[in-house]
Amino acid sequence: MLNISLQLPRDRFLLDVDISLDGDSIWAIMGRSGCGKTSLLRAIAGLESGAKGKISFHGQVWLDTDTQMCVAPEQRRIGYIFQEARLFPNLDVMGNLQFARQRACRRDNTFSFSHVVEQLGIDHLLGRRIQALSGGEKQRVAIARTLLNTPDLLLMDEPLASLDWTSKTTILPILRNLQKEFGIPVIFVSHAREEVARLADNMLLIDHGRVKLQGECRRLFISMDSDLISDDGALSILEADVTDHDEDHGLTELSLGRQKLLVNWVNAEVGTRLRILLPAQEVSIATEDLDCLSIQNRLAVTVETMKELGNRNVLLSLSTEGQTVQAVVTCRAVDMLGISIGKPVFAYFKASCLNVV
Amino acid sequence: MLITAIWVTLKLATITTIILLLLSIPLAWWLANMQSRIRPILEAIVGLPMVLPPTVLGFYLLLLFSPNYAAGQAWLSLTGSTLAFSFTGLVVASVIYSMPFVVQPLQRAFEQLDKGLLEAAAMMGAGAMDRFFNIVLPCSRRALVLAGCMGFAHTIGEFGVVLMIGGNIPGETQVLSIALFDAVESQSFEMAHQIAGGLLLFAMVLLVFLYSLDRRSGKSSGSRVC
Repeated sequence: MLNISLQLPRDRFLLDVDISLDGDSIWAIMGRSGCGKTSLLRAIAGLESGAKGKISFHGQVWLDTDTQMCVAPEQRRIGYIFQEARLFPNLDVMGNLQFARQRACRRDNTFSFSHVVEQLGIDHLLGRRIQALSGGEKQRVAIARTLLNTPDLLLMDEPLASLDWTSKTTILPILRNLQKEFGIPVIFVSHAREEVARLADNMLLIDHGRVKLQGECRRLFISMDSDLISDDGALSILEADVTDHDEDHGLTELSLGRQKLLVNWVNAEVGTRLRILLPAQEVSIATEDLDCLSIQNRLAVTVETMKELGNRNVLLSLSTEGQTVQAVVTCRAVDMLGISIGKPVFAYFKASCLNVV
Repeated sequence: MLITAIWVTLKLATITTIILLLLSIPLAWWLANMQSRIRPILEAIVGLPMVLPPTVLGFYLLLLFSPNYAAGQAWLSLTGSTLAFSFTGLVVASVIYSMPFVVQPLQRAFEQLDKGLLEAAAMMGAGAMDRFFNIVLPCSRRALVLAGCMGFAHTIGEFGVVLMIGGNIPGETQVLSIALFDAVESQSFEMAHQIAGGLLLFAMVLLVFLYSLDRRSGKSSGSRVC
């Protein structure tokens, strides 16, 4: 459990937060750029000398301005993955990893050298010089270096921001696995909605140095005021269980309560619970059940809320089986179909637009 | 006589360089990280020998070394000899005279060092000393070589200060630049040629080494910092 009660003056605002984060999940700190996300993360790490207040982690006090107590960053046993890899240029890849290993607090098998190197797929890079690595490789080495240091808490500041799409797609699943695989709490900063949806269980939304929302991602993504974050499109997070595989068509069948979903083949056993991301732009609405359509997925839903967006579009929240699907439709479609709150409709979306995490 | 002068010169330059590196590394780090408003004053004091006529420095050092003043008196009662016109006096003077040439490249390198690397090292549990010896110094090794060479070469080239406080005692304070002056005075031009030519060659070789060092590491690392 991480308890934070903190004030830190910034150029344009005062970062002022009072929060408790449980240690068994991945937390995301979201918000527009310059809202204080990174400052908060740096303050937790002890890298902001102007921070005032109290920070404690599992009962161990890191900062208490009242008693003039401030534990140095090097004694907090935090792993910090920066936006840039920050590898030591005077050492090669192996040297960087050993630097962290030699200063590790514990030696246990979860963080064994071979395990970490294998998880991050960097065994072929060990002898390389830092200058000869690509951006994605550097970041993977940086993550490995942090893990080999056996931290008690992992902080990540937009670890994917400086990477291209290919590197992102290789590193995302690794990050998603970190908490499960290594059993340490993770807090990461991001401004990208999809990144948060893929990685985090819980989130904080920060605006001008204050916490606006705090809670489970799946719920906050629905209720969140979309102008509080840089908008890369509304998104729904669904949870569904694997029920069957259709090998002939390369599809996997999932159940969402009593309803069925089809997604592109997923390598998961029957009964596995999966997290699925569905962009609101990809969802179409029909008032009748259509059967002459190429679109494979159809959910019977009820309109819960309607919110007009600036660009003559409407964001619909649709409930089904205790979960919520968001859809963006035009004002014209709302008028023509007579969509209103409480109305049962059908949501259609292609199997290929579903992202399984 | 020439061999003795070469020996005195090399001994002086080596001892001075070692002392200078030991003093300048912490001093340059302190200056590079100093937020205080007195920083420009301290930088000016360190940099003074670069613009001051060496004779001015020599004059004040001569006074300081004199038993008529507290510092010279203390030295005399401690060691039984005066600093003026002694090899030790030359070392003290050379350290002061060559200090800016060692401190400045180091300070510049320390200022340009990516502080993000130090934060990363701290997050891995490296304390201040650990970070300094294992990140700061290895990343500044080019500046260290440069600073050492500059201090060494500048000490070999000094003349005014040596003349003022060291005089011209063969085997004790007669360095090559003084021996050259002596040779010209006494019209031993053959000797003068040997000394002048030798010093010219030495300076040239050292500078070529320093510039090629710059080029080499610039190419291999692709970064200015390390």
